[in-house]
Amino acid sequence: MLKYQALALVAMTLGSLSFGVVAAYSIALGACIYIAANAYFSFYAFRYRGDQMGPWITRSFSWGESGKLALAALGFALAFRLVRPLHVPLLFTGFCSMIILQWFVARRVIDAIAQQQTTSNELDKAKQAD
Amino acid sequence: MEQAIVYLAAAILIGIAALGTALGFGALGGKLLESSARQPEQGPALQGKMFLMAGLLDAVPMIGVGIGMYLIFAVAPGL
Repeated sequence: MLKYQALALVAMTLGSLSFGVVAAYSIALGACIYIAANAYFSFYAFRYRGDQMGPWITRSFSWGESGKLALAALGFALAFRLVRPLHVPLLFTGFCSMIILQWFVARRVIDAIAQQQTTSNELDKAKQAD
Repeated sequence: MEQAIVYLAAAILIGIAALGTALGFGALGGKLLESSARQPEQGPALQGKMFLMAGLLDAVPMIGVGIGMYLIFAVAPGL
């Protein structure tokens, strides 16, 4: 997912360079805030797996979630405080476009997982039939 | 006075966003437990899907946090 987001970030930044440097770095900054927060969440949420790891999963999920919100808040605060001039609507455009991209990529990942499971179930059934 | 109202607006914005996320996570986690109890063999797969959905669920409140930060750090100091 991060790979797709990074590719989209580069493409959007290069595309928006024709509207000026401020537009380009505003979009890039918005996208970077989301990517950093999401990377932190992904790192924590997918750290533990399995039935035995229940409490650890809950704890790391909670850490990932609160860290994600805190990182997003910190990123926005720093951007609004330190970056001048900043095109605010384009900053939010960069941020929201990463969210929309994530919806599409997550949809594809979920479909791929479902298809993989169906295939492995069919293989198991075929093995049992043999 | 205007500055105080802007801070209050940002607080309400972030608070309601957090409430929405909490309700969403409650529903998501409840359904995960329910389906894992019904089909324990699907547990790990459902957990992975749940984390993906959780990433999407809290994306929208993050926009609220962003707008809140804009109100606090860009709008309020100028008043």
